[in-house]
Amino acid sequence: MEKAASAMRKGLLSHPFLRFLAGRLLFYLVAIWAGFTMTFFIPRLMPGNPIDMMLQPQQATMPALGGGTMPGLGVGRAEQFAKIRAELERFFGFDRPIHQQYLAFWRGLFRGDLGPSYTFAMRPVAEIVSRALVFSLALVLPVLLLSFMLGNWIGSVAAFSQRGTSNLVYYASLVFAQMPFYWFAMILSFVLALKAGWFPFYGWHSAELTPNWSFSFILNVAWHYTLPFLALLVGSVGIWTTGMFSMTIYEMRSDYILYCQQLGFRPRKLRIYAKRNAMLPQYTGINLILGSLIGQTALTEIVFGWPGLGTLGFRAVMNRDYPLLLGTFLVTVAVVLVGNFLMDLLYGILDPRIRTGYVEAR
Amino acid sequence: MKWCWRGMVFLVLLGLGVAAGAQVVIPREDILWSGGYWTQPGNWNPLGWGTAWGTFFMYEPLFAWVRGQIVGIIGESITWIDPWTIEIKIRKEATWSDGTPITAEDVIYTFDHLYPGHWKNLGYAARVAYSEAVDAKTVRIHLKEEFPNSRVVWGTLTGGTLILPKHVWEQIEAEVGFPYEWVFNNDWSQIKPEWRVASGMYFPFDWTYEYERLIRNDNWWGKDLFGLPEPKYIGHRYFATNYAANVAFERGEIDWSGFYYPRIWEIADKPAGKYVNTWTMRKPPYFPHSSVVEIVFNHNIYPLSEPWLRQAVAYALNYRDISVVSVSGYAEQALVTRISPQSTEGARLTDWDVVDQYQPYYDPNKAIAILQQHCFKHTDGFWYTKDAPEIWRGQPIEDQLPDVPGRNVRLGPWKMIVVYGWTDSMMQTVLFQRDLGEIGIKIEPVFLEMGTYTDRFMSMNFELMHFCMGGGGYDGSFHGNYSWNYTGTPGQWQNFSGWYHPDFPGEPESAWEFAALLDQLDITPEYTPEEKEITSKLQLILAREMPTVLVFYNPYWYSFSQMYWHNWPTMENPYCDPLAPWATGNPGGMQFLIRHLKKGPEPIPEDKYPWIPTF
Repeated sequence: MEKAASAMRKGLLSHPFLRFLAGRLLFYLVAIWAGFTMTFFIPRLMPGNPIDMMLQPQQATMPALGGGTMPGLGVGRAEQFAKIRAELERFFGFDRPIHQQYLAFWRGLFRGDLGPSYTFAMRPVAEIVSRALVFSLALVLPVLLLSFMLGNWIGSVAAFSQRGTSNLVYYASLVFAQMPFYWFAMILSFVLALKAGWFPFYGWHSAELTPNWSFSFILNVAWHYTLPFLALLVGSVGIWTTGMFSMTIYEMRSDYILYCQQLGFRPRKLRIYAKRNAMLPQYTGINLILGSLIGQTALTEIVFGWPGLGTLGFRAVMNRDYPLLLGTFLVTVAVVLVGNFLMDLLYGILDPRIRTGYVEAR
Repeated sequence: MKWCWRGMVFLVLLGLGVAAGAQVVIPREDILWSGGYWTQPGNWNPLGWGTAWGTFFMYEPLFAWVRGQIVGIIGESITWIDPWTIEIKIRKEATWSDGTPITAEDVIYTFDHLYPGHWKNLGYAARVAYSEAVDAKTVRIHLKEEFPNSRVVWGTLTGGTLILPKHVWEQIEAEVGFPYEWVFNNDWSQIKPEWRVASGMYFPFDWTYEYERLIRNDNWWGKDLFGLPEPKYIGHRYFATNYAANVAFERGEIDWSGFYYPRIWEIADKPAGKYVNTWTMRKPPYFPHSSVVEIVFNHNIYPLSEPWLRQAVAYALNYRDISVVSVSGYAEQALVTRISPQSTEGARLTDWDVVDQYQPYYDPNKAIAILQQHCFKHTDGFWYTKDAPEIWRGQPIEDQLPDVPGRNVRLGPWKMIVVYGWTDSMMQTVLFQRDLGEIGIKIEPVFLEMGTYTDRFMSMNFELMHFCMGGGGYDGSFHGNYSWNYTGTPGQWQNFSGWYHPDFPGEPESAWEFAALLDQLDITPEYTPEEKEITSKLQLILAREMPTVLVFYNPYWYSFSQMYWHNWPTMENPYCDPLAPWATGNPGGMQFLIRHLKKGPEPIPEDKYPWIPTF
């Protein structure tokens, strides 16, 4: 039995593609460990303590002119505070040595427990972050997919057509690709939401509606979704277009294209051939764009009040909610790394040269 | 590809079919929207941290403060039986939502069991000997011998403490366990039905992470006594940025705003502009006074511990210009006695002789003259003290110019810490740098992340600090405000950052005298000559010693739109205090305000009330 298992393992690892897979997996596991460890230690190395933040706004709500004597002063105040602080430190585990906190952190992670968020009424951070993740992915994934398709198509057509508009498309794409997405988001918000009033400027649905699965509510959400989606899409399309434009120009000067031209291939056929080869580096770019897009989405969400990880992270920072901040970082790191891992796999599958290489190596 | 398109069309149609449920819409004219409270929705536990806004309408206090008067809510009356006994009568009509009467036991349980040890009522327990239920609707609070007439106890009982049902919260306490105050969120959509018991005029309707909404309790016990409020729903919206909140306000999406709105007179051109108003009826300074913006000195460092230095700083500041540049000119210079004359006690007890004598104003020449009395200008461009003491608080003071007679200590350069991201505070610090530079005192603003800032000032690891947090600044009473700012030891939240030091008793003498007077004021009855005398002495000490430099009163961000609701309190219709939606220290006052709102739009007549810019 053991021999069979050993042979199976050997067999699996001797497969070049699986060896590649195992290598990447190992790399990403180490990266996840490093990322999670950093997100654990950084808030703890910062000055201040979350308990201070919890105890800080104690009197921030006194009325201005209401009169009356403010309660809660004088005798025994320092002692009472010390007692409350000690109890809260015990509850959150801050009274334990840092290595024990670290172990408890990993134990919690494996159980899906990221601790309570004290900004959101001690609700589980995992629950809050999961909800935000859905909203962020609802922006990131469609934008990534659609911008990839649109950008590559526009880039290849523009490069191949060689008309006057080609350069215009290229330079316009360059501008869109280089502009900060959150800046464009603010422009869209100002022009289309605030000035024209065509779109809502904030939130994910109108406040008078109760979230449900009715058609009108979904339409309302789509209405709120449009501007953040556009803000991310336009820039992303620009990035893909410029890349594809350059790659197609390069491919069009290749020997095989020139040879095909001499053979009398139709332009459409030539474009398809050129595009196929120009696409490969674009697939590699998905890794980079994904990471960048998640960062850009976080800022764009804040502009539009879209309740994704960016807005949540912003709230966590403003409220010094360390568990929530940690949870937001963890999920963001995990999404980026998992996305990169999947893209690595995809690239391994899509690139015929790599695929062939594996087959030959076998 | 055809199958693909057909499949997609099928899926869309299926989705639409599933989604064809009825929409739940609350008409805009039925809901009162507010914004500006700092917590997030989801926690309706009044005891813990981050209590959601709606909580202050679900539960009720005994009394409300309205224009300086005590107005009964659950409580009918409160009286001193003698200097050591307070008697509270509870309204006979007052009942919980499950029909159980609100009794003396609930009140005693709330104050004596739920709140002792809780940060909201520290100090109350230390002064109360015991509480007694005389009958089902009468409570007597007996004070300890050494605290007759205690203002702290009176203030706690008449303040914003929300009364909770004993028969419910005993169960919660038993089942949730410690620390239930902090971990029990009292979310009515999730907790046991038998725990959904409150006395207020609104109950939770729904919430998301972006808003909370409450629905009117049409069976409210007080409806015959006070009348039901007109808004069927009230809600609070949460915005990631101040800018987003302001846009919502100017579009009429928020009725009751507690946000800073820069250059509010420019709102006139916005969709809700003709409905927007402030307490002062669109005239500067627009907003009433709130907490104090002050420059805090680390008293453990010589010569920051010296009153003359603080006086020189106070005369160097261009208050008006700082206000215009940093907060649209809304902020007015604070009185040297600290308490705003707009507060009930401020109007009654401010000693104007002290103000006349000690109130600083912008006069750089006077600032230089003060410095010249104690210092001289060296060739290096810095001021040096003429003769400093050898030791301050146990630390020897170095003579920095040994060749010059006397012990010479250089004034500055000092660093002033301020919270990064509080843009108005950061701007103010830069302006302080400019103004102090003009009299030859160099300071450097240091922008710190909030956690670092808090850590630095709690450990007294700073020289100068820009301070504008709530604390006692919000309290318009002399005892409450002064106590809050004075109490504590160096390294803790207040005490004017080390004005006195427990290791050096009697030093400075004025600080210890101040403490003794505060204790005396706590047990002195209101509206007596003794009260006036003690508060005058306290004001004199503060004005003379100036433990911090008071810059101005923060504007109190109360503004409203009459697009959907009208009859908001203003200085021309002052039936109630101007209360921002975050005035949760006076929940009874906020409830009083909402009960007086009327449904329907009411534009503000532009010709009668034009917007007048502050500059």
